[in-house]
Amino acid sequence: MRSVPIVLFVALVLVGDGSASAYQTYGVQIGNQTVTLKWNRLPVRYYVTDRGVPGVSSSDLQAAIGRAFSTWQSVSTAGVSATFGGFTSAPPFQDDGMSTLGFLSRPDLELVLGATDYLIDTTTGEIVESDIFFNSSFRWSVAQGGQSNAFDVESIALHEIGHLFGLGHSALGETTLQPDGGRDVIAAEAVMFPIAFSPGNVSGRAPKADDIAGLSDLYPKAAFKQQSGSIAGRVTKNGRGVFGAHVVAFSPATGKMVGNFTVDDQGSFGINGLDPGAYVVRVEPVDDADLDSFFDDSDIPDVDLNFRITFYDRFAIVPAGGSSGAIEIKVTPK
Amino acid sequence: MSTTQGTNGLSASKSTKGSTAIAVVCCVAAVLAAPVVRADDVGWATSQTATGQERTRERAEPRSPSFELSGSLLWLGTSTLGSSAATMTPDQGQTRYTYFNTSASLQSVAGVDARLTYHVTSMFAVEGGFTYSHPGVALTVSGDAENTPGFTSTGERLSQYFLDAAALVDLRPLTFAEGRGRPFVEGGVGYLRQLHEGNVVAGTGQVYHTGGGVKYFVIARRRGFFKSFGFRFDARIYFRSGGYSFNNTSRAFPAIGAGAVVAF
Repeated sequence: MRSVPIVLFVALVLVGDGSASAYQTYGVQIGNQTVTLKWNRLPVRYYVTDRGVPGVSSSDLQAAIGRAFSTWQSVSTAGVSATFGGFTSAPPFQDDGMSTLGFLSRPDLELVLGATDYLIDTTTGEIVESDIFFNSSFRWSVAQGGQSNAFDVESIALHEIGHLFGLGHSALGETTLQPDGGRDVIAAEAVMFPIAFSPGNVSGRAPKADDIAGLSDLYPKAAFKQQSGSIAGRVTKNGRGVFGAHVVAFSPATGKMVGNFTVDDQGSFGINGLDPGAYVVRVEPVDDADLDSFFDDSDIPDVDLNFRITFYDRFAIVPAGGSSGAIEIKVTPK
Repeated sequence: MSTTQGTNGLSASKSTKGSTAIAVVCCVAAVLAAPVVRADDVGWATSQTATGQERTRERAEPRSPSFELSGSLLWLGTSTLGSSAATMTPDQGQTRYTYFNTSASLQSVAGVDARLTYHVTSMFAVEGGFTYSHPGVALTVSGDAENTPGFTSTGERLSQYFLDAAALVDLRPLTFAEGRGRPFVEGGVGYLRQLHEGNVVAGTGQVYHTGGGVKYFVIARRRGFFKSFGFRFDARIYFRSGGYSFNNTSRAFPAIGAGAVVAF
């Protein structure tokens, strides 16, 4: 088995060899084929480092991580599972065949709360190991209601474990750009949004519709494909496809939002895992996080940011077990 | 040629009060209908004395069981689909952050309505109905978080089908025009199916309706398969549950219909 490491960061971006085909999942190139990055063998057996940080003991950390795994496992439409293998003295990010989660001091990564890496079987594309570190340069908390000035371990663990299972970043969030180049999150509707809530906020402990759709698309339970549907189509500008547009489907009936990106020069997109019904579709340029949170470095020059936010001028109807049919959303330059 | 009149098969006694009450509704039908009533065709039951000099009217009970088939143009009023806000979890505070707002409605539309009625008794009937319409959908988006201008779009349509069963009660005291005009009240429940463009099922649900109307028969015959012919006017309130809707709230909308009815 030949394997390569891939690294994902929560507070910044993804870096590495993976090709982000969409926010929900990653694709890895295996020969001439792009294979969806995921675990083929479940449950994932994970270990937790035996080191804590001020205010969070190793057992506190293990309990918070256990709750985060349980939260993902409780997604009724997805079939993922994990088991706790025990504590380990080995730090995360060692390619040692053990999926290890723990604190790691990385003061050099001053905006990175945590990160996930993968070890991938390059003959099958499956994940064989995934480690997560929580940057101990920040203050952490496992308090039930959160603790001001400390980031919530369980919320960040839920995000990173989403990566561990193969989820990419979601762009379902709104931010403001700070003078120093950083961003403050105003609101988000996906655990997989790349910018964390403020210290003390524990809203990230529960996955949203966008996260659930992504995980269910990766690891669908038997009935999921029959019970859910998709919206597919193109985003065009002056008749040409738009690459990198963020497309959001909103169900007025359920209040759920699920997003994705246009992923090729034709402006094609697909949003899977939707409840049947009518959807309002909104398209916007990616402007609430750095582009490398969502796209490969090589693709970033092709991402089109020069168009106005546009709504599809009618409902997109999602049938159970089927697709809306190809819709075209025409955007105009700014 | 003697002409006689009486109550027809499905009505009973006249009621001046009743005739007045529905005169406005029926005046058009009465004016249109009057010239075409011919004595030979009138099927209202009558009797004469042995001398033939004195005409008397008597009530004629309906030829029960009997059927009616009606077809109408039905105007369906505007019906809201609801409103809903796309929101996100805020970083600060408890109030959810509004991404954008949406609302929608089914626009008023003319449809067709076909009904088969079976008279169980002289006053009570049951009927099955099929209604088809092709309403437009008005989608409104407003309040976008990034100040995108709001809009209302009316470019899409639904194919909408009701398949219902209803009960009718003839208001015999309100019968007018020598029994030709017969007011009724009705109520029913039915299945709703809505198809979006491309015949994708947009939603299914239930429709309930209540209302009333009047049938005005202008031709009645004693013989032949078709016993009478007339006009039917309906005014209903529909309540839609489910279907193409933002939530399960029942939505009301009016409907008014006019058409022809044949009894056999």
